[in-house]
Amino acid sequence: MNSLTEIERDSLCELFNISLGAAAKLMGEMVSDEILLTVPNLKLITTDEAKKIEYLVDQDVCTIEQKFVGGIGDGSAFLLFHKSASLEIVKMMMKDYVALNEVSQFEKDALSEIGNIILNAILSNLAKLSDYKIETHVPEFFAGKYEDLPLGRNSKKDNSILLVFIDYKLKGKDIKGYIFFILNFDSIKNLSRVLIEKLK
Amino acid sequence: MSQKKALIVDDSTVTRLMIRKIILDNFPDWEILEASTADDAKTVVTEHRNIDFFSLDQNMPGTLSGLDLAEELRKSYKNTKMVLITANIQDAIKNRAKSIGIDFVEKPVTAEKIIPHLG
Repeated sequence: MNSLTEIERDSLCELFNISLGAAAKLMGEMVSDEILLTVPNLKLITTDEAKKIEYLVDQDVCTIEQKFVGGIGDGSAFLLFHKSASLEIVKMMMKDYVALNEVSQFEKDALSEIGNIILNAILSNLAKLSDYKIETHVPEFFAGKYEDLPLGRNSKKDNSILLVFIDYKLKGKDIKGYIFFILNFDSIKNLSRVLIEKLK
Repeated sequence: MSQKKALIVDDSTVTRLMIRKIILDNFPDWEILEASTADDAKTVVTEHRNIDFFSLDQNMPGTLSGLDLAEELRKSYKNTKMVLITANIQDAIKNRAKSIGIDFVEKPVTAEKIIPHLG
């Protein structure tokens, strides 16, 4: 069974915590509202287990996936919104640029750009903090049932993935979403070792 | 005096829309050209001469990134203002931008971030 020691888990939590602060600031700028974040919740689970997360199963979701490659390993970062919240987020982002009745035309593009900005900010911070160079591709958009989300296509033979769940919420609004990362177990271990070494 | 031209290269329609509005709110007489990939941008550049400002995204579909395109453009546009507008804030990107002589602006776009580069 793949597992992390307490210090490995702690170092990764702190890494994601720092990176998310910058991302939350950017998202707040984009939607002109305060973003409330929870403390990262690290879980090492398999792709199959990820498919069965109770509060996401059977939900209509939109996700933006940012694949990445580099010293950190190959993986994916996802920004996930409930479908019901996505148009509201786009309205907040686009209200100064297009008429409200035109907003829906930009939903996919606007969410993809939000994902691009947020996930790149997190990954850039991860790169800085770990001294790894990370290359990212153009983000991919998905809309549909959560269980149809193509999770795990980057996971390698061991089928272990790291899901770093971060709940975020727009202050004063019933809009909630999640960010999660998928990395194979070797990459997770390597990343935590680099961080621990830097902390010494 | 001829009309000034800006070329906005970004695969996101939303970001192009935002940058276009920011420029026109401050410089209403400018002509705005747009492209969604580096290859499209090269076509626009051959059709329009004397572009005065380039706004380039870094990650775009296709074979060339914003910085790759900037390197090509610098051969003909040695002193023209160019800005890389990207969410990728890694030092490697910033350093390469600096070596090409292109300014760096972090997404999300705002008037405060872009206007100083247009002057």
